Amino acid sequence: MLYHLRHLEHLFGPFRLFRYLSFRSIGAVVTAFAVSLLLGPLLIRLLKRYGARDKGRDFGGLNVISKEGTPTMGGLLLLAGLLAASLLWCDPGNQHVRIVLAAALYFGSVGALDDVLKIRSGSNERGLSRHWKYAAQIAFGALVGILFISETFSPYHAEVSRTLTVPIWKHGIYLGWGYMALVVVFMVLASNSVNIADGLDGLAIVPAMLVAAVLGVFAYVVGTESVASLLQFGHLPGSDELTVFCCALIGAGAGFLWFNSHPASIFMGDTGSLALGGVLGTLALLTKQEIVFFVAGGIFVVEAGSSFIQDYIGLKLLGRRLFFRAPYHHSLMHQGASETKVTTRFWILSVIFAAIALATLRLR
Amino acid sequence: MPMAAPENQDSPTRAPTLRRDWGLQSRGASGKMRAAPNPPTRFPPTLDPLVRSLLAFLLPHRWRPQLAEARRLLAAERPPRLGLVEKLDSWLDSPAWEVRNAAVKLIAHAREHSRYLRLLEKLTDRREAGIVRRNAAEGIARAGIDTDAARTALRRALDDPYWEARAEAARALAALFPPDPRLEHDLLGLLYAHHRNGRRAIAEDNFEVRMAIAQGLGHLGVSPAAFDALLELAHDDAWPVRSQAAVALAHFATRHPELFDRARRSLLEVDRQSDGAVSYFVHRDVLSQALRAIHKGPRAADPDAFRSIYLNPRAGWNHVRR
Repeated sequence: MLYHLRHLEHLFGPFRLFRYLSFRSIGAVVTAFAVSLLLGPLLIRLLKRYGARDKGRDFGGLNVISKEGTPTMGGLLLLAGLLAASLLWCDPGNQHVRIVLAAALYFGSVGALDDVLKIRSGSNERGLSRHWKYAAQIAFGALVGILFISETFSPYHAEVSRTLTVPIWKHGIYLGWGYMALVVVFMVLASNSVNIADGLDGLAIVPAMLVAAVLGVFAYVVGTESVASLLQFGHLPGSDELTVFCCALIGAGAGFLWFNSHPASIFMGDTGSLALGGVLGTLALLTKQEIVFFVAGGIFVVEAGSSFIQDYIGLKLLGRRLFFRAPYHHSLMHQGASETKVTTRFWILSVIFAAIALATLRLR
Repeated sequence: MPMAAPENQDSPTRAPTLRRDWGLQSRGASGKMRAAPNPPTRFPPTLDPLVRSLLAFLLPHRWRPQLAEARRLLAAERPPRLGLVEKLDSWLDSPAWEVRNAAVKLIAHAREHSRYLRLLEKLTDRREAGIVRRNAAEGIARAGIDTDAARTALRRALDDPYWEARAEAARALAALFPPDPRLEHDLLGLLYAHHRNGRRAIAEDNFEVRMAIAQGLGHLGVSPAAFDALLELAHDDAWPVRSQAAVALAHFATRHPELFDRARRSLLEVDRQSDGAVSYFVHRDVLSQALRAIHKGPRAADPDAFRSIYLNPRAGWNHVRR
């Protein structure tokens, strides 16, 4: 909304600041943070009043404190900050912004439905079934895939849309119609990996903020013609606006972390984790940085990977555990590390992964 | 140090002893015991478990009804006996390890004496899924099978390549049998490796197994070697092992009052630091309890409280659903 004030610079000169991506990005961060901070206490009270509390699960760990009773569905706080800042500071006519906002609302709704079902049934294991969640993720992935494949609605030229970008290598891999299958698989992996990583206070939100920061940098690079040609990236017109959205996500994440840091006053629940995963996945697709997402989000890869290996290879196929526990943060806690130590170490690793991802900007 | 006298067989605090002859082993013409024959395999013996588990993994719909029925029986406080033995026989040979696992638990839950031998076979069959072997050990403890055959099987299981099975076997031995120098020797053998230069070092690198060994030595240990091993475990790198060793020292000291002072001194020196605030407080509380128990003297720490966990039908299996 504020973006349109740039047309009034002839009335008030400083309105020209709304033209600049940097100014709007900072505004988005501050706005999202402020909205989350202001709404946080109110939302926590509301969630407690309506019984939206976490039910807890026994993972058989030695070193687990019960978090039962903490208000859940804190993803609403994230989404509120994100949407408010995006609508204020982003260009509402930008197709990329609309797609990623749609992803936030869609995955947030699916996650909210899952959380509501769990709260009503009184058990964390009676939410939306795994199959329904996959179906919802696949449906959105298919829609986005069709968008990319379609010559009419695709945000980019067909050849660009259907190419998988490989870091370091200047030329991507042209997949043609196969890119749609990649999009579907990618969306399922991205949203589930963040969901799996959301297990400790602050564990998922900080790596998500860092991934958003990395994707924001890439969005600026590929969206700005001069920078893209300098760094030998293909120019993706319109994608620079996603930088503002990424900054809004960072601000909303910081505001959420204010309440979610240990000991958490609120959990994001599936409302937040699915929304975060869906949004980050969509951002990666729109900036054509599919593989960079998995580099920057290495923590999510470790968590989801350990969970997959433990469940499908260890337990289902071999009938034994391969790790003490899964996802990996549970294994560390089972061995005696405290929650804050595990979380802090994961944050450190996230910073390193983000730095490695950013290094690919110059490794062409 | 004098060897501790074996516990009174008729002590009310012991787990219920079962008659050795359950009729589950067939007797040949000479009257000698004969083990039940292994079930026939469709594939070469080395490939059979892998192929069967792969088939079960790819075709879950074929065994889900059996698993659901087994879990239903497990949830019942008193499973109906009608047709139970036939079902157990069928489930114990299922290609799906989850069904075999449920059958193993059901044998202990239903106290099906005629299938106790299958429990021992599952424990010692290294081709069997690790979790099934683990639950077979726990099932033996839950069912209170304290026969020589069970002791032999559990002693063999101390060498199991899967850490959870080793740990559970150590705990089961401690729950079922009185202090015994042979069992103590087996536990020490699991813990230590002896190098060529005559020195010994802790060889067990899995902290869960070290915890179970500490627990076992606390209940089964009779000699100074066990006490020294517990002292060493009380200074382990992992705080859960230190905590368990502290409790085990208290249990050991209740049987050997002459070691009170040495145990107390050692516990006071145990590193209360750990990797995090939560575990620090848990560890400190455990040490305090162990010290209080030692100060109170013999009988203050009740080793049978440990055994009673297995006798409680409501106690969860290894704290997780499987």
